[in-house]
Amino acid sequence: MIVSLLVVLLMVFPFIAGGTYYVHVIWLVFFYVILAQSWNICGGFCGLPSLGHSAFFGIGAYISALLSLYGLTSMNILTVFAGGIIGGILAGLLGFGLGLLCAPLRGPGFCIGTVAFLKICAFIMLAAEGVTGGANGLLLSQPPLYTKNYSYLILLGVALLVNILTYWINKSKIGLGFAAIRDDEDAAEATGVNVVLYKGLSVGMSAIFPAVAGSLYVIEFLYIDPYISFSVAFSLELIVISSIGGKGSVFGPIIGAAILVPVDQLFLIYYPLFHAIFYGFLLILVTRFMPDGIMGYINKLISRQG
Amino acid sequence: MNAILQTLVAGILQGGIYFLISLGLTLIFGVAKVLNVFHGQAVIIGSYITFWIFILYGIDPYVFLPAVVAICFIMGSGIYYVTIRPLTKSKTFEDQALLTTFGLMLLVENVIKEVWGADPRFVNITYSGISIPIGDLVLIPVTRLAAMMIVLICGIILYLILAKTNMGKAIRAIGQNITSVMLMGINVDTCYAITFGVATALAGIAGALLSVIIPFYPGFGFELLIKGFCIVILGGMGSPSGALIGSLGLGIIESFAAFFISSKVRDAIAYIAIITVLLIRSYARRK
Repeated sequence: MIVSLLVVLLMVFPFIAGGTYYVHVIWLVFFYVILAQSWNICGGFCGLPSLGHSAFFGIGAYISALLSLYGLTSMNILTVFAGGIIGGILAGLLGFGLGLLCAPLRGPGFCIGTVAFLKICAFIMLAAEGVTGGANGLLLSQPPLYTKNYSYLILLGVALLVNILTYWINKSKIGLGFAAIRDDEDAAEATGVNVVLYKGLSVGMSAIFPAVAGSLYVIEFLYIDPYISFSVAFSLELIVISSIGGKGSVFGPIIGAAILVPVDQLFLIYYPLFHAIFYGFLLILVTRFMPDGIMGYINKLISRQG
Repeated sequence: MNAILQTLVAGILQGGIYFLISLGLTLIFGVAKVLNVFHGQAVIIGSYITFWIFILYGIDPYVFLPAVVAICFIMGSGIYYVTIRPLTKSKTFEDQALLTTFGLMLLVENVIKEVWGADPRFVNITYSGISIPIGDLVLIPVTRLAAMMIVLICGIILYLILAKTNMGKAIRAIGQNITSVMLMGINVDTCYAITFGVATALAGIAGALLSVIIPFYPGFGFELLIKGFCIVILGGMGSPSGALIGSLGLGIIESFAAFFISSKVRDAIAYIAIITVLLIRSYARRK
């Protein structure tokens, strides 16, 4: 019930604070929650460390950008929905295929497989210059009927969706299968879990929402190019946020994003020189003292008391 | 025909450099089971040290190489003692070590960006541009040739260390069965430190060699890391000979892709090749 209260609070927040930088920061928090939580489905629950999630984001972003540039829908909220839905479905299918394809790859091998997928996607975007603008990327113009508050609310909605999905997965048979694969793949297979199918499902499900977030990103920032959208570093960011918050738990990525994104932004404002340095430093410290992430630490504290 | 031979040789030379980088990576993974994300930065640090020593004091990169080895060795062992050793007791050691080295990489990469700027650097010594013709067929830049020779020397030295010395054997044993090693009374801690030190030293040498071959920038370390990582996975983690085959393979594939198609495609082809080999191997293993 605290959650519902929080959600209501978040919903009215932009109308109170209206158009300030704080709205933007929370927007970013939602954005990273979506992405990190999605990665969590694949990397935290199922134990498949994907470095390629940036690709799903990029796919969603590019589809939305292309849809609006080529005038298939007029630039308004419809674009967001269309781009998000098409991108989400496409990314989901691609992710499913990727998961199936890379199913026999273990740990670091899977990691490389996803990186390869990412780089190949990046290359396709770079090469199809006529359509995608190649290295120069795509630049959009501001759509009418569009305000920051709209996108904030939509993003909040998507974030809620992701978390509901994650929570449901966690409680369901599929989630059990994921956990089994994460803990001991061979045992899971022996027990009758269809490892290949489940791996496909995990990557597929985790691919949908980054694409949706991608379409919302492009509407917000009005620019996309292959370097920011298909980058291993971006994928790593998701992993970091998820891990620090506690991967494998539903609240982990939420806490991770809620703490790290504002801190990151704070540092950007006050100590721009040191912001990335601090990030690395923080990562080292947290990994050292809170190995299971913040959620893990909280769980430990709770169990120690109880 | 000439062109093909030239491309092949260029690929082999590039593979040599990749070998030096991936050797350290596979060593650390084979022995300490750590995926050292920082390794790429170690290479770049080697490049930057060489660069600044050259700019400030005019010392030739190859002359300064032994110093780079020493500096990187100490740096590697230091990193082990400060960041990795505290983690060894925990259950999720591998994940933690990965994140820690990643954090370290972020830290160092951005410190370099702040302190030395993000502009590409290059060590331009008098003989940088000279190429030596081999017979009538192939043209090899002097710097690449020197790099290859040093790679060979390093490879031989490392082989001798690992195969013939007691420390080397201990290190190899740790990679195979750490419990037995501890029961034998060998100080695993020291062995880890030396492994990290040697691996980082190799990375530093690679960086120093690269500094006279191509321009480098702070983000280059990460690029090299990804390639090295791919090679290590392909060749088998912990297997130096696998790293050798993988490095040469990658170098040759890249070279031919750049030559026959275009430079833009080079990376994409390389990654397609990597994932294809990975998948073929995995599927074959399952049968």
